[in-house]
Amino acid sequence: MAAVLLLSSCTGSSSQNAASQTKNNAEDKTKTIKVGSTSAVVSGLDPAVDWNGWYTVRYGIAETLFRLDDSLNPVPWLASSYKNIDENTWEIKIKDNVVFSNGEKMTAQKVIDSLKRAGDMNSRAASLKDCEYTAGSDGKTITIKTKEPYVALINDLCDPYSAVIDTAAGKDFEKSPIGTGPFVISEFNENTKAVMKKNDKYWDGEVKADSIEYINVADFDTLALSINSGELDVAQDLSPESAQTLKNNTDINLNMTTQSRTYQLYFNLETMKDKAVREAVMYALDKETIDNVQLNGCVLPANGAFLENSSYGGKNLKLRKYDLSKAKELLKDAGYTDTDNDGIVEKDGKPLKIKFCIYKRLAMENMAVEMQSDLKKAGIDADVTVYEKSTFYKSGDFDIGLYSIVTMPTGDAYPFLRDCMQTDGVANFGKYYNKEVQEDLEKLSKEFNKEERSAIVDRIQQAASDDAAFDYMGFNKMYTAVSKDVEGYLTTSNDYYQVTKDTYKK
Amino acid sequence: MYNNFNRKFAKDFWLLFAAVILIIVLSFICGSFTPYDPHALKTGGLLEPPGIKHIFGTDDHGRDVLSRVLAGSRTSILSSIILVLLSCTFGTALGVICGYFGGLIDIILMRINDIFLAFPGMILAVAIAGLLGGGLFNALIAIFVTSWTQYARLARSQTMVQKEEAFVHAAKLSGCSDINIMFVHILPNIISTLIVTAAMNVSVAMMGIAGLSFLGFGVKIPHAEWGSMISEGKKYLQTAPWMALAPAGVMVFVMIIFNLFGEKLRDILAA
Repeated sequence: MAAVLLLSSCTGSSSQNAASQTKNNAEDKTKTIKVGSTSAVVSGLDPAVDWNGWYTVRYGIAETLFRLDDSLNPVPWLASSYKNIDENTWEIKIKDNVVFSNGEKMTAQKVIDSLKRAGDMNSRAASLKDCEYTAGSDGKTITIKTKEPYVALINDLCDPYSAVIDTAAGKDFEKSPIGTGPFVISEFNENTKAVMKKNDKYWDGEVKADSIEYINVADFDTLALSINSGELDVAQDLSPESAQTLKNNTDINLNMTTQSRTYQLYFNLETMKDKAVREAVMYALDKETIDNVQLNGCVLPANGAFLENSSYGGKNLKLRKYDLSKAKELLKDAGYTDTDNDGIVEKDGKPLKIKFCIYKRLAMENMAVEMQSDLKKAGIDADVTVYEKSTFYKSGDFDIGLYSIVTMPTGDAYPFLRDCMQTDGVANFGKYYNKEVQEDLEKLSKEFNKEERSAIVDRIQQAASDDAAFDYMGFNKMYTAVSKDVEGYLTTSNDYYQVTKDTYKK
Repeated sequence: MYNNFNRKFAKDFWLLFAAVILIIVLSFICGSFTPYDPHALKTGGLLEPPGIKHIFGTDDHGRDVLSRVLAGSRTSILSSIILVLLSCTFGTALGVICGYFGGLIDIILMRINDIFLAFPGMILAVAIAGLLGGGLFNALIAIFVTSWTQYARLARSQTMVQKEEAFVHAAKLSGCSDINIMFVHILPNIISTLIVTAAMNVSVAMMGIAGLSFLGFGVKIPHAEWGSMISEGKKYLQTAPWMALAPAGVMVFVMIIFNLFGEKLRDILAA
């Protein structure tokens, strides 16, 4: 206190102010949980806008009707149960005791208003757009009638864009949306910082932490240094290299979470018409070694596009395994031989050179160096081009390319397969077309039986692999450093559940 | 004018000159005589610290850092020398023309020059490299565009001074052509300043290329270049500092030699 007085007299402010400031600081240290990441805060918080809902849900401001469990299956959250009445009709009961942070009760009508708004505003929420919504007279029953039979509706209701907000409260949804979560936004600075205070009216019991702060940190090194020095309590999504620097810090738990984000390898079927070459590429890549040894285990080798423990895991798939001699043999049979002894095979005097495109995302550049070296062993000269963003894919100017994509954002396989493999899919960059796959995709969109769905997904994946149109290098593992003082901070494979009412700092 | 400078001075100069020549020759040869293939992965363990087998250690792909530094020297040193030669020649030619003729040509060319000078060099280079896309050649173009201006300015002002000298008037009276006067009579009298500037700018060019490479506009995977090596090594600065420090150390050394040489040259030519 003497020091405080001395300090305050030096700076000329009143001792009372300084003392209260010190008290505030002490309080901050014990009760505020500071979470940092290179993309912790974006431009807004309106869940219906783009991907902003991810942040609204991460911050514990808003919640969805259903949430994904550890195996990515939807379970009720704000809802209490649901019934699939017929192919087009779903009846959802909502919990009776849920209130928004402004004290308003969450009624069926309010949920409907929120869902309709998301459907109108977000292109990914197309399934919510043309539905017919009816609120039951009891105020807790919602009936949703879809235009076409739509299987993944409940999965879509796990997506953060469908987070329920009170649309009648205020207009500033970007800066202060009113949700039902354990925290309420108190300060929001675009792309820099978001501060949340505890929601005293939380419907699901007492919230343990007083406040949560999300802070944008410029780069991975700074992020690692900040948590090392205790400036942050949680460092989210560290790079594997920066995570290494924290290994010796005993005050930090370093978590590694396998995400459903995979490194998809596209083959451009318009420029790489020779199937033997595509197959040779697949055989030449030693994924296990690349992922486990070269990339230090920060990528989990994949069998197909979906996580092993999910209902679409690829345990029944028969995919090509690393086999260098087979790759060479295939090339030889297709007429490629190394005539000038430069290690690269030629056909009709032309060396086999393929344009391998990547962009700056996660471990892609490191992976590309390894893949290039593997391909060279098979006699394929891969010319690597590194782009800033993935937008180059639309031009079709590539032979093979890596793409970082979440395959099961809401626990269902259909949207990903549709986007990548349907003839007019938004991510079908390699112009893949197989008639049976198209038919199976059509079937998948209408099939309600779970086992049958898994079988169709397996069929589609098997066909795409047999056609040598897609390959998967592995799933990204996300590093999160959490101070040992913090309990109850979640790291999940879908990456949008983080703070809850049980998150607190000792 | 070379008669009266002392032997010590000359010795230093020749030593530095020899060092510069040696560096250039080595950078030519070394790329082909590296202890390991600079692109070969797993020549040792990953991120192996410097030792007998790998003097500068290995990088995150198990590539030998020394081999990569040597292979990168060709890219870094030769391209910066070529860059300086090109921009010096181009800038000087334009500057002499402007200074000699004056008038409309001078106004137009110098306003273009002003436009380039108005932007900070590196920022403009990044913008140009961004437009042209990656690759060493594009990076060189980007830096060339921003570096010729100073030679043009310098050559112009020097030419304007020389233009009024009696020997130029004499040459005019005796019927020499403009080209002849510019490049036979004026240029030799202004060239020493330009050579000194060029020599001092080799290290600046080296920094420019390394800077663009560092930002990802330089060489393609898997080729080695000092800037991109430092950029790759940056993320391991705490766990495997040799990855960034080896190329950075060598680069600083080479730049110091070039700078000392440039300064010596200036002292001699001013004497």
